[in-house]
Amino acid sequence: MKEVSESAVQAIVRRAQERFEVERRRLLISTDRLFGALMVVQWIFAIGIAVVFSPYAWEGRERAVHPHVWTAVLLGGAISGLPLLLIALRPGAVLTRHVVASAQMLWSALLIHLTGGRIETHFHVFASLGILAGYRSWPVLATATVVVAGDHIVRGLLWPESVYGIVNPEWWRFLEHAGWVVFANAFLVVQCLRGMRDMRAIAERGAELEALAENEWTKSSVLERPAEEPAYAAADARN
Amino acid sequence: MGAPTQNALGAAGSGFDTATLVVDGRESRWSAEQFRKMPLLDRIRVLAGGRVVFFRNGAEVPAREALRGL
Repeated sequence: MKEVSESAVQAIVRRAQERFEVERRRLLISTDRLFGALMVVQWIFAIGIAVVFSPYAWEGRERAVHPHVWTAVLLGGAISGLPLLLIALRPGAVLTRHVVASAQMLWSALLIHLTGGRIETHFHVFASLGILAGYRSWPVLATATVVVAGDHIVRGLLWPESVYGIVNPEWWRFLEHAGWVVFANAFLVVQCLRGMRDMRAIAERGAELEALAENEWTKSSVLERPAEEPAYAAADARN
Repeated sequence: MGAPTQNALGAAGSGFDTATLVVDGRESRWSAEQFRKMPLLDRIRVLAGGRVVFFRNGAEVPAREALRGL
């Protein structure tokens, strides 16, 4: 009895890998684009916060634009600039998503600063981690965690009011915040790994069905075969 | 007719619970989970070579139905 050739088997496996890579790249690019929009929205939001809550600085009767407004415009622009550039030029690249993760955490830091260290603004960190998990890549979460932890440690030591809203927090306050980030990450990392596993399983399921079709095709007599070869067989012949 | 239960669909979200493989004339029995964990290349070899038979609750099921799963 005629058997499916080893080259046909290899081709099926190769196509499964290609399908997986295509789907993964599509996911990465669409997540990049989502963050591209978010970078712009956060910038506008930060300027809005600064303008509404602290539009002017006063020195006696002299009025000037508050430094928060300039911080939102200039620092916000700087934070969003690089990821926006990379999303436009290198969508789906490893560097792009790590820069996006860093920028997103810097946005958390800036928004916390602009709101005077409001505890509610710290929720932005957790929301961001959840959105970053959309990449289904745990190293992205690691990068984000390092950036936000570094910001909390440095700013907590040098300018605690900016991050906690009080001038004399306990020295270990950053550990409490980091602990909750690790708690969230523990579940998000599992979800990322599970998501990638499911994506691979779908690609492999397609390969299995393709292998069955190949087997049926090989076993069938010439008279039983349709006039045209299956599309994948024709594609395989071209390769 | 209601939705198929996990038991009816077999283990690991598959339409089978065991698979019998014939490799080099030797027969071996695999659970659905073991079959899914097999390297893709080996899985494709046995499927393309028609060297696997799927079972659900002891009854043979067509390969296409077995692999459809959830």
